[in-house]
Amino acid sequence: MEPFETATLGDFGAQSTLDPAGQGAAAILPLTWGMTIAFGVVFVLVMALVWFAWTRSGGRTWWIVGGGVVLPLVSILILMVFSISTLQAITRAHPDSLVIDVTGHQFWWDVVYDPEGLAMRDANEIVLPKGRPVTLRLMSEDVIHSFWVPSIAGKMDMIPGRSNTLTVTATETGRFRGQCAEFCGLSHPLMAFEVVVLEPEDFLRWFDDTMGEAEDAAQTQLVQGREVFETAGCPACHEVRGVAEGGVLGPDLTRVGGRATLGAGMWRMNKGNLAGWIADVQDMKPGANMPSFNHLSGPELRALTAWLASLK
Amino acid sequence: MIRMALHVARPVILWAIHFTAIYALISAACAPRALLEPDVARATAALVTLVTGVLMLVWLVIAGRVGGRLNPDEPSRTLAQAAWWTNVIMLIAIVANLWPIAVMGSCTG
Amino acid sequence: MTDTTSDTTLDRINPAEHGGARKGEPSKSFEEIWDRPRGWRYWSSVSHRVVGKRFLVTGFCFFLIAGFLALLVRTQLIVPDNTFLDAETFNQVFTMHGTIMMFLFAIPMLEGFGVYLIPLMVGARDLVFPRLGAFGYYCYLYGGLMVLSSFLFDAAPDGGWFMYVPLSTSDFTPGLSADFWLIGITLAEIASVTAAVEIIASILCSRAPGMSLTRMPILMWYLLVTAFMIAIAFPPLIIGSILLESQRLLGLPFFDPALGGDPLLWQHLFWLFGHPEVYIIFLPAAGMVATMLPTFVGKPLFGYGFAVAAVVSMGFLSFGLWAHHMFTTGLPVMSLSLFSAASTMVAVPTGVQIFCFIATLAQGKPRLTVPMLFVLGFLFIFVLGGLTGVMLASVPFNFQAHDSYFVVAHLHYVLIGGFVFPMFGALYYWMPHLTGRMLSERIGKWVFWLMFAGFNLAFFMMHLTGLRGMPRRIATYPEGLGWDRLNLLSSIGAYILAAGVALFVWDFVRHFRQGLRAPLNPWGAGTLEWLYQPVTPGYNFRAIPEVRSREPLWDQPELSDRPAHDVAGALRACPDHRRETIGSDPVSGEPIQILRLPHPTWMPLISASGVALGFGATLASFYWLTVAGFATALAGITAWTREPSDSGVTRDTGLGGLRLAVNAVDRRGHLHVSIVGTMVISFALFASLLFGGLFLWNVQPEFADRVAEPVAAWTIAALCGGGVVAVFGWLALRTGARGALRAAALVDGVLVLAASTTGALMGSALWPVDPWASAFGATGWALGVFVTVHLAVIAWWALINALRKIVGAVEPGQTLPDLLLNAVCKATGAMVVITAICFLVVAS
Repeated sequence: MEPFETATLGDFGAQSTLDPAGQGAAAILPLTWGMTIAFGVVFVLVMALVWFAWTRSGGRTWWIVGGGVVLPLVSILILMVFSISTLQAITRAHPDSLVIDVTGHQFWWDVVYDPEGLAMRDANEIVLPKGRPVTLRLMSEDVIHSFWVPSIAGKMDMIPGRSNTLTVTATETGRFRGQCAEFCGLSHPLMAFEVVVLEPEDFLRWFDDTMGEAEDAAQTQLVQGREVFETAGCPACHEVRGVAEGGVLGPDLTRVGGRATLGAGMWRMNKGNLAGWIADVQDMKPGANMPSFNHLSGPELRALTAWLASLK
Repeated sequence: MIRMALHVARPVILWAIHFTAIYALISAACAPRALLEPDVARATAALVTLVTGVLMLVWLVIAGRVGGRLNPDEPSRTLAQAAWWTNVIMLIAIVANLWPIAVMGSCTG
Repeated sequence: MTDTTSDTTLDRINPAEHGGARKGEPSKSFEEIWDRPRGWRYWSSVSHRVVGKRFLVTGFCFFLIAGFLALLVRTQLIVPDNTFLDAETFNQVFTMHGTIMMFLFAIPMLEGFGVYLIPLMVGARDLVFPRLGAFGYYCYLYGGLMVLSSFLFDAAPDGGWFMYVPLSTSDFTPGLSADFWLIGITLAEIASVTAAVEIIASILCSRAPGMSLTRMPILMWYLLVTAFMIAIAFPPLIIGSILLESQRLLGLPFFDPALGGDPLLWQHLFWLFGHPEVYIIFLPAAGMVATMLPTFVGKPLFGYGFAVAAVVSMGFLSFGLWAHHMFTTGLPVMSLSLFSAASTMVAVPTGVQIFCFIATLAQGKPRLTVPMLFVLGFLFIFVLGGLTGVMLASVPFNFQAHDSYFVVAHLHYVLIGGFVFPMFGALYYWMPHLTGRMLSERIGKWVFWLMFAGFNLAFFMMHLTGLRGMPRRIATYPEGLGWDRLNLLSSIGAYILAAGVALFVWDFVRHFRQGLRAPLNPWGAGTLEWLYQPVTPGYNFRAIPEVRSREPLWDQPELSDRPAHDVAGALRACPDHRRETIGSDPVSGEPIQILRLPHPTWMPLISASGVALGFGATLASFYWLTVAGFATALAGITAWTREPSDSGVTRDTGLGGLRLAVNAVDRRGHLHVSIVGTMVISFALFASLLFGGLFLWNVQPEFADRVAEPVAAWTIAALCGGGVVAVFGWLALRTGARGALRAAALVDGVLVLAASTTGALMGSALWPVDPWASAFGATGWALGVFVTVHLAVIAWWALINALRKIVGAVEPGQTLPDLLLNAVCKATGAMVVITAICFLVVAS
């Protein structure tokens, strides 16, 4: 996990609309600042008028007409022109974009790259190529979630029975944090994820590396860990390509050790956290659909953890 | 006075009808059933707005003239003033409601 | 229509044998008749002053509870990764905070002010339906306690005050928590709906002689518009709640996408209520500001006509922007733009109002009292909140800000600025009226500044927290994302705000002993409620004065140059020893009748207890108790309406020899107006169901097209049945008006049959449709059941009318019940016909 060692959870600004790293967020930010400044001025003017009215007498009908009708109309007209043109810009469809399906679950994210073609499945981390439009198809398997990476683009809900699309184009490499923005139950605050933006050639390399099956276990402990994985019932929900396929109820674990975070963007990925997660998931994430595997023996748990951490 | 109260009520009721019509047209054009072509919806919306707008303009003039004829101390005059301004606000509102359909090329923008 | 004033024919009916005094209390004097019942009988009181105070006190208690929950939230969020509350408790706490503030504090509080102030300000002795007010209060109290009791059963709702499906369905929220919310809140909402009818009828039909629409205190306009908004906005939520509860309880798939339902249907219904709700909360508060401002400036409100135009416009416009709460649900961009444009439009009437207030300030030399401080605080906070509201109406910005702390900041600016600050101002302003003593000006300044500073510290920061990406409703957050210090400041601000509220509570307790006794008209106001030395006696007005001005106490010297008791006016005499007040023409305010008002009675409490029992037993799944509860309620309400009618007796009003009929049979009268108001609510309920059906038909066409068709023959028969019901309702009125009581009773009997048959036909038509198979089919059944409930009401009512005529409880000319039933029959007939046409369209 060397390349990710330095990645800390919660970098200042990694989840901020004020530090845009994508076209959507960058298009919205001027609107944010523009409105803040313009309405700030309006607010000061109105308060100044209150002060004036308090100290002096006067008060004419044109105050009401000017302040109540003309002022709002002019500001709204300007606002709507900018607002609608920005809206059209950020919702424009890109026919040649990469498609990624993201499906919300309580409380994690299922990710399928190129669903109509290679259909590579991953979870809880989304890797994007810099500068290339990506169409996210957002769905939900259970309740309503909302997909939000403030630094990249605005949010879009994931609604059962519907498929919403969100087109994003990352403009800077780096790691960004996203989080579920629609209240989705007990562990709603613990439903985050990371977005990793790579240079286009790095993205292709990453994609090719990840596309295949998991590396075969070489050391004894790792072989043992794989056996624990198979006998403890993990494959009923989790898939590790090349080892156990078909489990779709839980996150794909083919490269679980390669992800920077654990538990949907909530904890740093390391063996200690991973072991704690397996043994005590209900405590770390109440309401998760995975039971705590606290019946595993110490060596079993260590072996399983070591094997999972080796999957990159 | 009853007439003046109606003068206040009618532009808002007309606005409600207009809003419902615009919402229904967009829903008919943009929902999965796709009942209407977007262009048909747009043309209908424009027509509805035109009729509504003309009606409101006429009422605006009437409210202004009725109000102008009344003695400043007459209680109905306040209602005439309210009717005039209600017409103004609602006229602005129906134009605003038409605007998105008018400028948008399709349901998806 | 009204009896002619000089007609003596009705006079010969001696009260002893027919008229007025059948329920009068001849042994009591005027003062005793209006006395508040003492001891345990206090709970049988129906006086608007008692009920209004109960609403205010209960609402304020809920405010304190919900405020305490807010402090728990802020304490949890004061540092990152906090473990003060676990996630489950946190979710319960923020859900209950929102739920209590919106449903059990804000709405009941404004109802409390309305119920208390309306009769005093329009010159009436009580509301026109005092028992309905008391009934509503008890429903609210029971509903509120039911919701609150969920904490005791460890089943507090935890799905958010918005209860989004599918999270709130039994798949994801098993157990009773969501049922507590749905059933308890629906019970409490009964109070809102009854208050709406009551407020409409009271403002329109019981004003003092001469108080035309334009002479009403401006607050009455605000409350009138608010009441109409409640009548139209609450029905979508009531329908939504019933549909959701029936999905939970019976498994009907209204919101299940796998069976042709749609989770977005809930959001549409919820926000069709939820957005106007914000204005329902704001408008009465703005009305109170518009009442206090002129008092402290010493000049009338500037731009009364503008304010009326703005309030009426706002009442309507606020219904056209519900979907701006749904900008991120993937609606078509064209819809987004429509709702965006419509949302920004409210800025115009809001701006007009705010500038009316500012222009009023400039009319004279304002006095800086505590209520005035709160008014200024309102201007500051609400204008800021309104501006961030316009920002949120911009769709792209909303994509970022929606469901973030920016929205939390905005909504608290609007609701605390637009409701809580004016309400505190109003409590300071009207406290002398409520208790006879003044709150402390010195402590009040502290209260204001603590609240103002704490509020801005707490909530201004949240704008920034939200823009820095913090979502709402999260129990914990990791450190280092730039949210830590802002949250700390917000929490400190919340504690300061709470300190201000606590200081108010202390001052309130203190003022009962140490507060200065309020002098006559302590603030020098111009409105009628200050006519008497606080506390005003139970009858409000010994004689109801004529009103010729918007500020009668300023412009009519005859009101203030003598003791209030001696002010001339209507109904000084009390020949029948009954509670009564003047009924007015809705527009001109001219007297048209004498309204008989009920004396203290237990029926509202019994009926409300029955309803509460029915709701509570449903929650607990004791269905036989549900039946018993609703049977009790029906018996209570029937007994409540069983009262010997004085309708038609004429009496001298004391206004220059003007004689008016008691409870005249008049379409402008309070009863007919209230029935029209009730039918508006019914139609709003009906329209919500129709909307649901159309919505599902439009977004899930493949399911809707597969649903089995209703039987065309039965549908056509039901359609005809609807027409028959309407015709016989009218015929019963005509026959009754001719004085042919036996014949009229027969027509009523036919009406009972027609209504029952039509209901049965509706059921037969729907028989092939399986409501469990698809959401669209279930909606069809819901429509059928809805009209059938109306038909059942008609059948029951017509049966009672027939019995009353047969046993001789009705005199010739007493056709009020027939007039009212006729209106219900017409409305129901229309609903049956529309429903049947919908079925036929689906079937073809």
